Amino acid sequence: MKPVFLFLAIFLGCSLGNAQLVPINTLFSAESSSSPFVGPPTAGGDSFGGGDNVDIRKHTAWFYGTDPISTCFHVTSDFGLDSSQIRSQLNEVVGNWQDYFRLKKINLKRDKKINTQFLIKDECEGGESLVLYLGTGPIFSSHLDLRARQNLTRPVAYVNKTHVSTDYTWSKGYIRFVGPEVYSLGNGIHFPIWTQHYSFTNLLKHEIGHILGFTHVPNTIMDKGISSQQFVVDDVTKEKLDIDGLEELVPCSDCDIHYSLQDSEKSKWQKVVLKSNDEIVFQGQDMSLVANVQSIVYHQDYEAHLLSMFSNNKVENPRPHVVFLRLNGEPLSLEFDKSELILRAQGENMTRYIREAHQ
Amino acid sequence: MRLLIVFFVLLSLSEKSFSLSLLQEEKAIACQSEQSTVVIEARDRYFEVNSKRFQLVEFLDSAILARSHDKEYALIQLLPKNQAVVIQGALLDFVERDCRQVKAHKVCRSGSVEIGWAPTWLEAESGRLPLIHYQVYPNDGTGFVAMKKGEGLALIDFGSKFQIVSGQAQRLDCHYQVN
Repeated sequence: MKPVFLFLAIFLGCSLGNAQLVPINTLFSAESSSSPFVGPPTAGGDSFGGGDNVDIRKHTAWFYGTDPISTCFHVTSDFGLDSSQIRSQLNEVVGNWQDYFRLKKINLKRDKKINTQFLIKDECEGGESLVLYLGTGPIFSSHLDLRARQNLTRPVAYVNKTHVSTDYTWSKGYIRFVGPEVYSLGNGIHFPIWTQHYSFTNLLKHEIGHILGFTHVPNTIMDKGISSQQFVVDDVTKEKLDIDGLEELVPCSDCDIHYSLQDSEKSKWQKVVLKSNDEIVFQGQDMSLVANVQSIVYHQDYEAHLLSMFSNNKVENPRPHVVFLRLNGEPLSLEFDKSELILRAQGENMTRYIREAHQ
Repeated sequence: MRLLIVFFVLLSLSEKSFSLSLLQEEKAIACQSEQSTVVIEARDRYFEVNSKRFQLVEFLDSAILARSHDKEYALIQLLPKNQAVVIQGALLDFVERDCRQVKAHKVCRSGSVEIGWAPTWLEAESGRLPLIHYQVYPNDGTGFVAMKKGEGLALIDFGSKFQIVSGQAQRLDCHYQVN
């Protein structure tokens, strides 16, 4: 063990009940890679144990219980966002995850409750459990930073757990965001640009997701390529990058689902429970679906069977007849089969809604 | 998906094609500021600041620590967007012996000299300078470069061993030199 570890272990090994914080490399041997930083950017990863092997079911969140997680951030002046903007976005992201935990009832059936209570301090004082380095890096255990990076390809953001308590209920570590425009796309184009719409917020949500124990899940906010999506789709929708995105991060079979439907002309919708062979004929040219709280609006050109999303931004729907959407955090699939509108949850047919014929 | 693939291919090609790198050994890199011209030799064995030669002391992948005949030290660190910063001055060697943590920053003393650093600033006798660059070096090293109004401070941290270059600093625009 290097002297700096001994120093940290002694200095930072603050008491947590009967548990002690110990450097992570006394528990795991992180993989290392000599590969150069070339290729596509990664969404950011979790260097815990040397790979993205975090599984929410295996109690691998960083923090458990209800004690506030002392959190602070360092930000360089050229990062693109100032302290108040970062604080605001950090609060928003933490709020998103807390809502999600409530909605999905993630902690209800767990013996060890995953901690989502972050206490964001005005200033870093050195004893914080979670530190955000924005445009900069750690001054302590910097060799661990290198090790964390080595597993990632041109990382724009990543988390690194440096210490864990002996009972695995508390940790220390950091989230690092690289400085702005440190990578080149050629022709004078550089990335990341943290002031870009949703760029910082989405990556922050992704990295906080790792701290809450989530591994990479495609088509959710935990998608490994989430940072690439930002650079490919300039105006990516907020909904697509919401926590569940187009898939479920945590399957939820017993969540309450509340939704309502209306068309773009605010006409009434009639709730109809249908059998599988029932036939429904749409009368209107256009239809839309509005979620009751988040105002996610889907608009369909019925004739062309094309879907487009109108909510801040646009996104192409990959499958013309199927669109996945999220209502209050609960993913549903909305299928259009010529004349039918079927709402599904968990693959089971749910109540169908048809619009009343216009008078 | 196709767009993504094309994007990735272009991305991986483009970084190799367009970013300045000290790891290649075929082209010299020329840098220019209002005051100075710096040329980094193709194989990184030395670089020249206004024709004053600094011989390689330590190669750090994205930076070079070098020394002149008159025992002046210089660190040149490549920055994003084809820029670099060069700091010329004295070299201070530290070992992690007389260091302490003060809040979220660290202070080390070597003889009469005290250096403090935090993730967003470095501090020496010349005063506190804001950090302009953080760099991960090979072999478990990290670099912190701070600069303000022509004064610069660079800290190369290899865990138990620190090197500090303190002196005049300037930011330069760089390109591969065409033979």
